[in-house]
Amino acid sequence: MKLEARNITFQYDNGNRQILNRANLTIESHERVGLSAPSGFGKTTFCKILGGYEKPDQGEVLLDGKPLDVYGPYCPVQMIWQHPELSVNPRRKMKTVLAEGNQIPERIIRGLGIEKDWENRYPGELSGGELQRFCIARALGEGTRFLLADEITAMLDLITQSQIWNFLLQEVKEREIGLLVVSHSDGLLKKVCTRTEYLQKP
Amino acid sequence: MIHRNRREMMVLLAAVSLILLAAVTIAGANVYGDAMVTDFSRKNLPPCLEYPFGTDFMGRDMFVRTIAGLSVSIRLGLVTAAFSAVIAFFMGMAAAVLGKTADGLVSGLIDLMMGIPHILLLILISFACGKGFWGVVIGISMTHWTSLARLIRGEVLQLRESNYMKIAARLGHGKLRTAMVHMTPHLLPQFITGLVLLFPHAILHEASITFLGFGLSPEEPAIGVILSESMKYLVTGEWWLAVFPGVLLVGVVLLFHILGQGVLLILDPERAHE
Amino acid sequence: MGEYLLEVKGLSVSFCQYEKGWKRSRIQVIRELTVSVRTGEMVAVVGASGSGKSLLAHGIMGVLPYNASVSGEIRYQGEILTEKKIRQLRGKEIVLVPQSVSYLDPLMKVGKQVENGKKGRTGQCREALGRYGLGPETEQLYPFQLSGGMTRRVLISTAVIEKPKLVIADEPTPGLHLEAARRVLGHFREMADEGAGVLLITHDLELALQTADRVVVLYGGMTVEEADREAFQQEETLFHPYSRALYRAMPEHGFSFVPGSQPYVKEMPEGCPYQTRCREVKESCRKFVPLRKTERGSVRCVLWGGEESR
Repeated sequence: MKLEARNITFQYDNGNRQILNRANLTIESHERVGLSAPSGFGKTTFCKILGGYEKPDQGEVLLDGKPLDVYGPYCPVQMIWQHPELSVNPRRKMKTVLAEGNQIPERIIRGLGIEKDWENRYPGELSGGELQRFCIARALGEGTRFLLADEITAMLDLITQSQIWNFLLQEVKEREIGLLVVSHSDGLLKKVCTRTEYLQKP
Repeated sequence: MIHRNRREMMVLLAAVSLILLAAVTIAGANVYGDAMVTDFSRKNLPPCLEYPFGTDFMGRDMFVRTIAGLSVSIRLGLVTAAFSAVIAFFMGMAAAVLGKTADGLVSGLIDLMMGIPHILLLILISFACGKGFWGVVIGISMTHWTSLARLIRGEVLQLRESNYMKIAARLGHGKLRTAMVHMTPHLLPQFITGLVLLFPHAILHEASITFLGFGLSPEEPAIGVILSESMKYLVTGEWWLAVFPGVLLVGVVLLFHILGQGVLLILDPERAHE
Repeated sequence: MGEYLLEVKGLSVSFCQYEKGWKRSRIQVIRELTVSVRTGEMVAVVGASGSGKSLLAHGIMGVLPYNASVSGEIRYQGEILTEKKIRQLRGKEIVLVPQSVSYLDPLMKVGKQVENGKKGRTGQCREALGRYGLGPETEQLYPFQLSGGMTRRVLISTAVIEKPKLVIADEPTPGLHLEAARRVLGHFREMADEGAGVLLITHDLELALQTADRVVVLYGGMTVEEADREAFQQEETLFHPYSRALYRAMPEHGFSFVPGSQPYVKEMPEGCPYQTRCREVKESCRKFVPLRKTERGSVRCVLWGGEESR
């Protein structure tokens, strides 16, 4: 499959600053693309548009030539956010996070190093690294074809980072899931990606 | 005595309040008939062992009357709080979910309601609805849903913008289900606490408009009626007619307040470790 | 290297918490945490989230929440840092550069905040901002008008205007691009070079190694190893299995990992917190392990039989 962003232009309602201007990107299923740009250059916004969280002012996001909406309620392009503690409901137990995903196999849950007893805890009782594993598992449901990873290990320690990426790499290779990796760490991008794109200044 | 931590104390206190309130409500309902019995052979008696709160100018037992009056107040408070909470829930939800126009309308209505003195509006509505039990209930519920509605509106607006609800949508979950599942654990504690804290307001307002003659009818053994009747006899030194019912009314209000604080402490995880 | 400015020895922090219902329990988040900072030195405290590193900063500054209790020793310039003393020094000789933007008052212009409520410091304020490449026009901005990198620089400006002797920086880099993060750490390095002591608290070992003189590795709320920067250039000069695992987990050094995760505070084992994941675990790991001197610092591991550190 092919995920395409064509001439994406975007600006937030409240500010007059243009975040994205005619940004283009194509990712194939077998690719792992790194995205690098200084802070404030709209990387997160770009991911949100690719994942269908925001509608661009101009331009379009196409999956195999068709807009994302036609693929049904479950979006085949899933995004994993930088801050796991904002991505889970603080008042619901962690097992509800896994249940929210689209049939997450036990293999993924164990592969990410999620321990059985974490599932009965509330988010406040887990560390950032532990929460992020749940968020990744949730995004790896059956229907996922592309994964957008927005600085997903920037807040984590090196060992957890390596644990998560080693698993994720193996999983996306096996299932031919296309991957977009946003990271400030060049070392990480080199290790993980097949190529790296640089977002142009608007 | 076993040493108890603050939280256990609070829970204990709330439980005791609940039991006391329930006891008064049930006892009051059972002696309702006795509260009307007049016996001129025992009129204007000061407090004594047989009549701990004394008797009034018609020889009615003031203790029985007070308990019955409090029971009426609590039951009225129950119905009123439930009514206002339901109005608050729907108004708050409508403001948060139905778009800008609905939000403007509801917020405007809330401001309007809060701008007019409660008691004035209350008397008007109660009077228009023919006074009595239902007049008071409608009057108070119509004027007391505003702050809870505002709270719910704010909470829902904030939750709607949360990342986890947006993620749920991208994972293919329906809007209604997502809202139910993700919002309930945030809204329910607020809602229940708001409900409990509405009681004291309802009870005090009922007493005051009844006192002014716009509430419950004079035949009922309501606290407001008792207090307004007692006014005539205060000058002749029959202090017990006003003091005991008044103090007990304040007591009931305090008990509800303690109960509300206890509920808040237990249900709100942000205050969990206080 | 100058004399000791800050010495933290055997610090423990525990919290009183209510569990489900109304049972009360005590959980220990930090134990046996040891770290020291000399004048002119930049020391990085590195640990995974949940290792208790932010609590260290709050513990030193005396701003822990009321349900926390602290034991152990904190000395400042050789004297015990009492609650009264920290209150005098806080914000003057000892400053905290907080991790979050939310520490700025959203309704106050940047200039006023940097001046910290004292009149007649416009010049100093302008100088402090200018040092970090922020022009005088920044003074007229409100916090929401700043970008992430600018906010950090404003936070640093509010700290340096007091000419502090000890700077504690709590996670100053997240959300910044690599270049900006390096620049921010460079500013702290500069303060150290001018004679202040800097304690940098971070989860990012790679960044810390680029600027700090010494690195203290935390795991499960405990100091497991402390060594100078050069020791982290190769695996052989590191002694604790966890520090070695950290080294190997860097993308440049193999990107390998150890399975498992840091134990939950309520289930923290006695002795070495790393015993649940360590491949070389021994019976003696389950008991208290003292910090022992190494060539380049100290380590808390039974595999290392050096002299006990003070």
